[in-house]
Amino acid sequence: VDGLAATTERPAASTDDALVQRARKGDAAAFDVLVASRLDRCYRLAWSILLNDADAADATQEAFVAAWRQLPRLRDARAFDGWLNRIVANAARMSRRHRIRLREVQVRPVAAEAADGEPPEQQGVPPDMPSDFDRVLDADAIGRAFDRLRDHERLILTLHYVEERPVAEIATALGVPVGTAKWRLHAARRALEQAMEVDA
Amino acid sequence: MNERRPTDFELAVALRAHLPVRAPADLWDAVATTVAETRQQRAWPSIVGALTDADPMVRRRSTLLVAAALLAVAFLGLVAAGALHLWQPAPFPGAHGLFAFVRQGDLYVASADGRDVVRVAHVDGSDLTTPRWSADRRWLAVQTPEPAILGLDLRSGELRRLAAGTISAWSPVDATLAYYTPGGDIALLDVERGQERVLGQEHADPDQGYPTYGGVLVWSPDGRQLAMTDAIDGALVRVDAATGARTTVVASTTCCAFRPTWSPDAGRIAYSVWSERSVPAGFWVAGADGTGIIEVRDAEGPASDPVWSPDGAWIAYRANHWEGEVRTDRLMIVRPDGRDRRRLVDRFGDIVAWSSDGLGIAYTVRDNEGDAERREVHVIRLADGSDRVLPLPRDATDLAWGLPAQNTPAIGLDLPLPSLTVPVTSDEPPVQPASGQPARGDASWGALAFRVQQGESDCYVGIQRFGGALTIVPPPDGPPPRNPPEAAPPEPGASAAPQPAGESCDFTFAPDGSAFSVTSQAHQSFSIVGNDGVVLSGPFPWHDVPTWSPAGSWVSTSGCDAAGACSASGSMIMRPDGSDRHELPGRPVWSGDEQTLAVLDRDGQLLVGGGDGSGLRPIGVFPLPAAWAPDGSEFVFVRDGDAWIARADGSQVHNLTGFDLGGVTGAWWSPDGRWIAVLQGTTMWAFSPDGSVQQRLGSHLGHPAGGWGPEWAPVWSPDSAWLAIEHDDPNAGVGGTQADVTLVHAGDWRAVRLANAWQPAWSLDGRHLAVVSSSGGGYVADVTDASGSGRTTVFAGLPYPPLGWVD
Repeated sequence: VDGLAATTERPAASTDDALVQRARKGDAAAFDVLVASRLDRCYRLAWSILLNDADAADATQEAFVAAWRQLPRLRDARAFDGWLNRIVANAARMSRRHRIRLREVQVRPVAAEAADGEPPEQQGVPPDMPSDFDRVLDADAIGRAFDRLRDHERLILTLHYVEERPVAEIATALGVPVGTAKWRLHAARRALEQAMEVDA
Repeated sequence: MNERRPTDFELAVALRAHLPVRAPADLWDAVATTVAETRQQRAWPSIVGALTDADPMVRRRSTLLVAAALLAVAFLGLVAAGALHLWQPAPFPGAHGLFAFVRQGDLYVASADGRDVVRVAHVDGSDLTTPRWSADRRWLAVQTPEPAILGLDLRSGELRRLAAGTISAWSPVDATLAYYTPGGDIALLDVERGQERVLGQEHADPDQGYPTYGGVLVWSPDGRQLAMTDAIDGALVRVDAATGARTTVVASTTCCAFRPTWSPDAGRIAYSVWSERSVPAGFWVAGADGTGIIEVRDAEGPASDPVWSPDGAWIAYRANHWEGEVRTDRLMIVRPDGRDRRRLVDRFGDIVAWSSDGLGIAYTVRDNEGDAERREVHVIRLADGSDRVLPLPRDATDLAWGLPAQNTPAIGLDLPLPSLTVPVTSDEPPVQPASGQPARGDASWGALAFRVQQGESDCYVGIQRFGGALTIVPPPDGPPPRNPPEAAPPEPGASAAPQPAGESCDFTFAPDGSAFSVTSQAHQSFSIVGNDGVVLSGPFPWHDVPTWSPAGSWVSTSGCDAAGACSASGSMIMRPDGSDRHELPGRPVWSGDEQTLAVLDRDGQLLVGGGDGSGLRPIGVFPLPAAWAPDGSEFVFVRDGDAWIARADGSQVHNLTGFDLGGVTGAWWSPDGRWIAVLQGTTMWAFSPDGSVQQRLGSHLGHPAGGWGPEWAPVWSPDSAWLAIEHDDPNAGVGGTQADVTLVHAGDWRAVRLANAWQPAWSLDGRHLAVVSSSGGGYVADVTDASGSGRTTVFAGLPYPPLGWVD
């Protein structure tokens, strides 16, 4: 209609966007509000990769420190969640690598713990397991199979099925194109089913 | 052996049960302490520097850092006091969700289209009323006559008593329920933690009927305040949810300010004014601080019951219209400043909810048949007034629209939750193309590239030339391919489940088919590789998967490494051979001819310059372009729910779509410049750039929430004749991972749907379209001609490949 539209104020940012903007400029209180509301989710993500409480807590802590340091470089406030998920995932992966190196030096990994850090196979499926699982047993089987997946498979399943993040945001969190995120999700789902079959 | 595959529903439930719900109680203290120490480390040198440095910029920065440090200390105090307020973004009732309602004293839910009615709660000897969905998507609260409040935990299905009292409202940001105690206190109950706080007396006087009027307590969108009607004098007041402090927004004049509703930005409150506690007199809009009060009048009759639209642009309300002694309420909408009033429905009962895209409103219609009050639930589409009835039980009462977590275990539903938006009857159903005869193609088809598994690595790329050989290109640091598969493609329909990958890479293919990028997850680096396997550049120690400019002349990345550390600007571009590598102020968006690019700077200024990033100059405050015209003379951007066009210098800005109710989320310019595809909600449109032609292509061509999410993009064929739209399979359900591709022909706009198809990729000459689909336990690549016919499987056994055409 006219050139005025170009200079009018942009639409009011959402509350989160405003918090990100403030935190990016050094507003510590805004940062605390931002990350406090995401603590459980980030911890859950870290746990999905590391599969234990202590490491997940450490990784979450490291991730939040990294987020505070890196936040001034986050350009798009709307991408905060994907960006934070990515930092958490990377922190957990780094922690995992560090942990594996330590284990290789200090102790001989147990037979079932592969050099690539795969957790030992889960026990507990009785040989007389009925073929027709009821739902509760299915849930257990899914949990056991989940623990046997690779970390990037657990991560994407958690983001999609637990955190209900849209694939586009998952792609941002993983730093991959949307199409790649879709394929990884499919592959992780299939790997889970294969792990369940092995378990059974 | 368990042969049954878990459904999405079972998987979600099982994983939620398997993973921890909450972080350890002491983790936040540890995090806050560590982060605060980090802040002090950053802030202290700057404070010292500020004492000795006369540079005003440095002083200003130091002041900010000092303030940040002080805020951090203050925050730690809050933590120590246990006053930290955890919250989550609140979803608005949306295109996906459930109706909760009461029927004969029992609690029911139904899907968004009114079907799949399920009874979820029955209490012997007690009639349940007033269902309320929690904003955290985990609870459904319901009232008993006792009075007591029961909560249905949507995760476990457990129905438990939450408190004695009367339901008011859930906080929009967490699992806090505001309610009235039997003694008339306003109380807040954190249902997850079992913590209760009393905010103060409501001044309830049961003899006067308070607080039964209106919504009583209405949370502000940020969850920090509650609006309510003072039970003594009828004034509109705000109550601070943290302290209980009251502020009078509007003092009572005639009688009472009822049913307040907050604008989405929490800046204004609309409320009904009743003259004698039973007669509506009109509705008013006031600033949250009580300033700027305006009365919205209606010639149809006194206006009441305002409900703000999700984007704040409209208010729906009731016009109490009298014909003699018969009142027939009319459903109206109006701008918040009183302009642009429109009548939607001549006779209705109550407003149930706006759809989240703001394009429709659910409402009830009542009629009295004998003693039983019966009602219908309708949904009206605002743009054209089309209206439909939802098949909910006609004796349903107390309707509440909500957005519970997908696949809610307690309800036992694993439903495809349809859109609340109204389908337009003019939609022509897509034509399913007939299966084509196997056609392996010939050399003129070119070549397809896809991921190939080699041992434990999926970092190999297979390039299959139609009518020719299969070439396996190894990753830059990988061993040569072993046991290359045979060149001949498998039989159509054959499939093989791929092996799990030990090493994983990501690929992007240059649009001109000349090269591709390989990003190694293990090495956190990427390289550019030619189709012959020659490494053109790299490895670069960045984590991102790079993107290509439209003609493949440039590669861009965010310049971030695995730890999240980024280059100073946050954006790098270079030639595919690694030359001319330099930073840009932001992520570039190129024109089709690559002669122009735009980036957004930190202040929201759009910078436009040459295709190499030279000569960048600010042209005004714009969002990043959604797309450029092919020649770079204009760009289209999305703002305020519409698509706008501007010249490259920022001049001649005009609104292309002009939708009454906005809802635009993306725009894509055709390569020939004749059309701009626009997504509004789940509806795809095509516009001519001058706005003279506006064609609706179809609905349900995207999901604003759930499913794949909104980021998929339609792809124009190189000759602009066809638009390929990847979208959720409408039959697969929210959160499903099945997709279809709909092809729409430009000009006559006929549509063809390819079921079970993902990732459409046009051949370089535009004559063919490749898609990937699932088959058995694996994936296959299909090729059709440009019109979607002759669909033929050309490769099988693909390990989740990116699929691209190469030269």
